[in-house]
Amino acid sequence: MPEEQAIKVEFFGPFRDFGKEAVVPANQPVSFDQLVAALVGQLGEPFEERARKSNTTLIVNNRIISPRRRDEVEINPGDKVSFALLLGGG
Amino acid sequence: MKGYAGKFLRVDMTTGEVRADVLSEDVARRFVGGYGFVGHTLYNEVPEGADALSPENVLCLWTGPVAGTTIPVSSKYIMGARSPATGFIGFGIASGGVGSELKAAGWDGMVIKGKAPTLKYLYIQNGNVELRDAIPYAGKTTWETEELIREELCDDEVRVSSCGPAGELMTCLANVTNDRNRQVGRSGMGAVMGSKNLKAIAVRGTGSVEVANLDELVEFSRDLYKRCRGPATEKYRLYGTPANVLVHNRLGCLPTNNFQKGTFDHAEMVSGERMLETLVKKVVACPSCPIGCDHINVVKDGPWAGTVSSVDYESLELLGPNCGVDDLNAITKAVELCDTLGIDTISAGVTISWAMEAYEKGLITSEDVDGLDLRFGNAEAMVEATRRMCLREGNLGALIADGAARAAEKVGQGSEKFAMVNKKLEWGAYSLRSLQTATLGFATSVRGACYLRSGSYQPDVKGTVDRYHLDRSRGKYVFDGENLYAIIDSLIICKFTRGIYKDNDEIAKILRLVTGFDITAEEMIKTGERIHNQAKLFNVKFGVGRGDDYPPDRAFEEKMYDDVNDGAIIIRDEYDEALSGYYEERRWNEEGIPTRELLEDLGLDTKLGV
Repeated sequence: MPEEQAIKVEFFGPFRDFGKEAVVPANQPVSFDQLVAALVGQLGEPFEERARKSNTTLIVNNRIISPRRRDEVEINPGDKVSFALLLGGG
Repeated sequence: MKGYAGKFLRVDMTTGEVRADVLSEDVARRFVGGYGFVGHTLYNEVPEGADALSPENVLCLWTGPVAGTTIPVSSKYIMGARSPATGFIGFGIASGGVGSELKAAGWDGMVIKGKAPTLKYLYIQNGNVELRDAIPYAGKTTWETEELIREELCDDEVRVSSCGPAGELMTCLANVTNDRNRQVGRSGMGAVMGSKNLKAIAVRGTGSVEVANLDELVEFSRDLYKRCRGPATEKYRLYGTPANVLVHNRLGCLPTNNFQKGTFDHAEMVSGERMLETLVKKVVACPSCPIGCDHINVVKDGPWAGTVSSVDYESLELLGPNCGVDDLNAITKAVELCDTLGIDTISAGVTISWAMEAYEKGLITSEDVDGLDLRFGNAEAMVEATRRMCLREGNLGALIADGAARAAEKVGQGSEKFAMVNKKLEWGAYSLRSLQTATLGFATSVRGACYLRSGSYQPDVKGTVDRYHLDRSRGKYVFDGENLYAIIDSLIICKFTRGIYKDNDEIAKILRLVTGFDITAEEMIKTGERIHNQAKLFNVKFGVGRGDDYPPDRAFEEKMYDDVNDGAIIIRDEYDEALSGYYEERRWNEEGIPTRELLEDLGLDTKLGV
C-alpha cells in the first residue's frame, strides 16, 4: 500500500500485546476515535479498552498529543502514530 | 513534635564522640525534613572554603516526617555534603529501608564531621550508637559489606548504607548503596564517606513514629495505596523506568554516542520491553511500596553470565545508547560493577561516552586507554572501562575516575566542549537540543545537571511548549517544578507517586496529618521556595554565578541530525533570555544571586543576598 494512503502505527509497552505495528488504510484525515475503531477492526475489542485508558500516550509524528487534546487531533495519511504508556521520569 | 523523632545524632569521626542533639520545631516547620534539612545543615555548618574531602566538610543524613508512617513509598532518606564533584551542594535520595529504620530507631538524622584515624562504621540500634571497627571491610564491595555487617551483628534485619572501594578511593563520582540496589547516587557522597574513613552506617530500630492524626492518616493512606496500583504508576509496575527507551527514541531525545544524536538505531535491542522479555527475573519493592519498580536482571549466558543487577532507565540509556552499546547483558554487567564497587551509573555512562568520543577523535591515545578499543558500540570495552573507572585502575582509570569534566581538563584540545556536564556533574539521559525546557532546568539545578530537581522535561514531552526553542516564559515551569519537588524531597515521598495526588493540597494534607502543622497548599509551596533558596545560598557561599547555569557548548555549537531531528540546536540568545526569565521568576539578580528582599520574605539569612 502506498505510504500516502495509510497511517503507520507502532506499539510500545503493554500495547505490544497487540503486535509491534499495524497499518491502517486511509485516504483522508481521521480522528482518534476513527483510528481506534479501525485498529479494533484489525486487533479485536480488547484494543479499545487499552487505548482509552487514562494513561495511554499518543504520539503523532514524534509529537506527544495531550490526552485533553486527543479528540481534536487530525491524523493524516502518511502520518506515523505510536501508542505508549504515560511518560514519566527515569 | 509529631512526625519527627525530635532528635538527631552528632558524630565526630575524629574523636569518636557521638551525642544526641535536639531538632527544633522551628527548623521542622521552616524546612520540613530531608532536602530542606540538608540545605539548612550545610549552609550553617560547612565552614566557608572547606574542601569537600577534608574533615571540615559535613556529611549529613536526614529522613522526612513521613518516614516510618503509613504513607506509601515513604521509607526514603537523603545524604548531603559539599560535593567533591561540583564544589557546590551535593546530595542524593535513596529508597530502600534505611530511612524508616532510622526513624524507628528514634532518630531524624545525623550530622557527621571529622575524620576517623582508621576505617569505621556507625552502628545505631535504637538509642545505642557506636563507631565500630570496619578495617575487615576495607576494599569490600557494597554488597559484601552489607552481608558481612549483618553477619557480624547477627541480625538479618539491620539496614546498611555503605560506600564501595570507589568511595574509599575518594573518587568524585562515588555513591552510597543500601539494600543492594538502592543508591544515594549523584554528586559523590560515597567519596565524602571515604574521606571521613566511614565505610558504612548500619541501622536497626524497633520503635514507631507518633503522628498527629492516626485515624485519618490510615484512611488516607489506604486510598493512596489503591491509587498506587492504578494507571498513574502502571509503567513503573510493568517495565520499570526502562519503558522510556522506545518513547524517547521516537521523540528524538534518547542521547546517543555522547549526546551527538537523539535516536539510536538499535533502540529496540535495549528497550524495556526486551529487557522484561529476556532478563528480568524478579520485581522488588521498597518497604511500604505497592508499586514495585525495581526490576532485577539476571544474565544467563555469555561472558557476563551470573551477573545480577537492577537496571533503570538512566543507567541503561547512558551505559547503553549513549555509549553506542546495544547489548543488555553488558549494560547489566556495567550497572552491577557500578553498584558494587560504588560509582554513580549516570556519571559513569556520560564519562565513558566522553572518553569514547575523545578516543575516536584521536584526542587520547591507545596508551591513555590501556590498549582498549574504546570506540562507540564496543560493549566489552565499555564494561572494562567501567571497572577501571571504579577502581581508578591503569591510565584509563586515572583519567576518568573523577568524571568527564576533570578528564577533559586534563586532555584539553577542545574535549571540554563535549564533556556533557553542568557544574561538573554529568547530564541525565535527556537530549539537550530536543528538550530545551529540560535543558534550562538541568543547567540551573543546584546540584548540577539534574532531571530530579524540577521535572522540567514535562512541558517538552507533553507538547505544552515548543521543545525546540526557548523563551523568557520557560523559567516559570522550572520555578514551579523546583518548589514542588523541594517539598516532595523534604517529606520525603517517592516521585514515582507524584501522579497519584489530585492536587498540591493532597500533599499538604499529608504534612497536616503527620505533623499537625496547620499548613495550606500555598504555604507549603512557599516553604518549597524557601528550601530551594536555602540550597542556592549554600552555592552562593561557595561562589556560584550565572556562568554555572549553562549547558555544555555542544548544545549551542553543533546541530543535531538523526531520524527525528533535523538540525536541532539551542540558540544562545534564546537561552540567555530564558535564563534571565528564570532568575526573574525566582527574584534573583542577573547573576543568579537571591535578593535580600526575597531572603527576608522567606525568613532566610540575608547576609549573602544582593
